[in-house]
Amino acid sequence: MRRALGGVLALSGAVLLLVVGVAYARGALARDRARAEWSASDARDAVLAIDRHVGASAVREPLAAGAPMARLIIPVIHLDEVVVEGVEDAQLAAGPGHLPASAFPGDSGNAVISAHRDRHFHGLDELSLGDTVITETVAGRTTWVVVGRRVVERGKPALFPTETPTLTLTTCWPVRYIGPAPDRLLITARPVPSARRI
Amino acid sequence: MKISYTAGIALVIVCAASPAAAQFTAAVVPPERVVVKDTTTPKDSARKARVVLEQRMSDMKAWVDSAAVALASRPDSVPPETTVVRAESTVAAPVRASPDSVTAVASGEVVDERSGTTKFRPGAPAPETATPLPLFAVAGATMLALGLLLLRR
Repeated sequence: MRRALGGVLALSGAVLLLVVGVAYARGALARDRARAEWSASDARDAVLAIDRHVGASAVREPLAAGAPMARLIIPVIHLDEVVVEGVEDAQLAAGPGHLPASAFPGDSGNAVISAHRDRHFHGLDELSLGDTVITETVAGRTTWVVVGRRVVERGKPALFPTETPTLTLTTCWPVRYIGPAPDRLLITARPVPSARRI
Repeated sequence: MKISYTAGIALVIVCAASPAAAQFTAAVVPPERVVVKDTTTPKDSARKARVVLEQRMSDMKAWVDSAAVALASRPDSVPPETTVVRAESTVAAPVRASPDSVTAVASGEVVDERSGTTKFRPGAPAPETATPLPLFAVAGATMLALGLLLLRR
């Protein structure tokens, strides 16, 4: 009886771990694909060539879900990820997702980027005020400084349009939590004037 | 003690009489069902639908107005110090019918407010980034360890 119970437990545990492993592996493959697409596109060269004028807005075509649209670099937590369009499960498995209809990073307005706390944004809670965040899009590179962090309850109003360029990074809160986390961590950043850029 | 058959039956009847009496109740005639005939004409139905639609539109207007007020009262810049605060203390919650309600936004897209958002709109909740995978991983590892422990014994 004890052996049978042990066998069932071990088998169930192995199946659960397999499910988790497959999910992470698929996410890693999607992430690699997004990185390859980003590198292959002309975006990288454009980013290197243009020192973006912060606040300039442009009329942009809506991107397809899952399309790589930016690169997000946060030196203090060693994060360097390609941001994909959309925040559905499939996109969040591949990388941080840009919330559709929010501004492009660097454009006037609020650009919202979200990611899972157990994957790409696992170190987001270590960000402090004054830390640097860098985004690269086809239009150029923008350096941001973290100006705020707050925690809101899941489902509560949290995202608002802004007149000036704003970057909002969101993930689940608490970051280290077993089970679906009940709150959301929001990091707000503002572009750094050219003279102060790092 | 010898009890005759007849006396036994009498005893049973006497003892059972009281509980049995409780079973007799007055017959209550249910009230007659009032049949309401639907006398509304198609014109009335259209008017009713229009009123409901106007009510919904006014509700939506109230929601948008309240969100705009909340937005206007909210400083554009985030305070310089680290603020880990609850949403209620910083942002006025928009008027909603109930927390379980599904809100129809201006674009016509229906967003379930319990599960975050997939498109930016003023006052939208943060995207749904919660994942059960860490829970599955911990549960799986625990079950596997327990199972192996039981198998070894």
